[in-house]
Amino acid sequence: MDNILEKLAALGVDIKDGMYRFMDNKDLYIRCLQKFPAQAEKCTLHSDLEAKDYEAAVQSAHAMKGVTGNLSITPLFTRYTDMVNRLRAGNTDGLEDLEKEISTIQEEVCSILKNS
Amino acid sequence: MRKKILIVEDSEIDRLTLKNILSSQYKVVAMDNGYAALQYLARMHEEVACVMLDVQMPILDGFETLRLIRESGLDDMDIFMISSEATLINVERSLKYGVKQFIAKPFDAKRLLARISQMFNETGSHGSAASAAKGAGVPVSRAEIDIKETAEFILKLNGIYKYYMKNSSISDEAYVRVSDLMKILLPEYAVHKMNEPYTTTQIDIIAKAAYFYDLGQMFFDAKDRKNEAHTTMGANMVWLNTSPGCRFFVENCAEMCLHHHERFDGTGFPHQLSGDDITDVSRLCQLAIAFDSFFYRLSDVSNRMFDLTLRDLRADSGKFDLDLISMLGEARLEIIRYYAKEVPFDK
Repeated sequence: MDNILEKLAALGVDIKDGMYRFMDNKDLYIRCLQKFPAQAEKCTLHSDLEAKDYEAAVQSAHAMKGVTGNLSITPLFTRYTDMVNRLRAGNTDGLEDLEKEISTIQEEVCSILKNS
Repeated sequence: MRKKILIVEDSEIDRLTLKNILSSQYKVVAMDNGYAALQYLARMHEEVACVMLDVQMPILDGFETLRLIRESGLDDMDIFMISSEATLINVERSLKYGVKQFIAKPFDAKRLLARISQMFNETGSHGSAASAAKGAGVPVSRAEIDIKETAEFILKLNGIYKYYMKNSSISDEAYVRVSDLMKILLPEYAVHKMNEPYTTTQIDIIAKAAYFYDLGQMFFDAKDRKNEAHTTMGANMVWLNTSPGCRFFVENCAEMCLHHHERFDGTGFPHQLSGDDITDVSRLCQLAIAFDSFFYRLSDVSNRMFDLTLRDLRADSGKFDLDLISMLGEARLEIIRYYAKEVPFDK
C-alpha cells in the first residue's frame, strides 16, 4: 500500500496533506484514492468543452476540483482550479490545451490506482 | 451525548472524507442526495443538530434541498453549505436562505472541527452573561450586573459620540462597517489563533467597542483631526469607567482607541509597538479599518474587487500582519455577503 503512495507522491500528489485531511487514517485515504478512477471516468469535461457547453464544463471541472483537492492530488487540483476560474471569467482561450494536460496527468494517476 | 451531524454530499470521496473528519467528535449520518436527506429529516430531525449540504448536486442541489427543509418546517438545525467556491450566486443564495457558514473544499480538518465546536458552543450559550463574564475574567456571580453595566456604558458612550458626530456633520457609517467587520473577523481569528475561542457575547462586546476606535477625534477641531494625540485622548475617555463589570469592554475599547495607528513593523504611533506587542483586537481593528477604506471605495462588491483590496493591503509593506490578511481572505464569503447586503451599489 505504501508503494501506491510513493508512486503518487512522485507524480506530485501531496501525501502529507492528504494524510492530514484524513486524520492519519491511511487505509481510508487509500480507499478513497482508489475510488478516484471511477469518479474521473464520470467526468464529462472533455465532451463538454468539445460541445462548447461551458456551463456544463464548469460544473464538471468544479466537481473534480473538489475531489482532487480533498485527495490532495495537487497537480490536478491546481489545473482544475485554473479551468474553473477561466470558465467563470469567460476566458476560453487555451482551454483545450489545459484539458489535455489534465487528461494526461489524470491518466497517469488513474493508471497507478487501477494497477495497485 | 455526542451531537449528530447529517452530511448530504453526492461525491462518495468527499462524503467519506468529511465523515471521517467529523466522526472523531460527532455522530455522523451521510446521504448522497437531497431527497434521501429530506426523508431522513422527516423522521429524525429532532436528533440532528446540524446539516451540511453540498451546493452542487444533481437533480436537487444544496440550496433547493435547503428550501424544502425550510418549507417542511424542519428549520431548527444549524446549516452549513459545502462548496469549493464563493461565487456571487452562492453568496446571493446564502443571503436568501439565511445560511451562516460555508465549508470550503478541500476540507481543512482542524479548522472545520474548531468552527463546528465554536458554533455548537455559541448555540448552547448564546447571549449567556455567565460565559461572557467567565471569558472576561469577571466573577460569575456578578455576571448579570456586568452585562447590564456594560450595555448601559455603551449606550452612554454612544449617545455622546452620536451627538458629537451629528454636530460635526460626520457620518458613522464607516464605524458601523468596521464594527460589523470585527464581528466577522473575530470568530475567524479565534479559530486560527486562539486556544479558547471568544463567546458570542464577547465577540459582540469587542465589535461594539470597535465602533468607538476613533472616539478621541471628539477632542479636536476639524482642521486638527489628524492629531496623533486623539489615540490617547480616546483611550483616556473610555478608561474613565473603572467599574469591574465593564472591564472587558473598557480594556478592549481603550486598546483599539489607543493603538489603531500602530504598525506591524513598529513605525506607527503613539507607542511604536511592533508585531505581537500590538494586541489581537488592535491588529484586527487596524485591518478592518484599512480593508473598509479600500473596499468601500471600489465600484462593486465582487471577488475581483476583494482581491484588489487584499493586494493593496499587502502592498502597504510593514503595516499589517500578513497572516491576518490571509485570514481576511478566508472570510471572503462572509465579507462579500455583508457588503452586498449592507452597502448600496450606487454608493
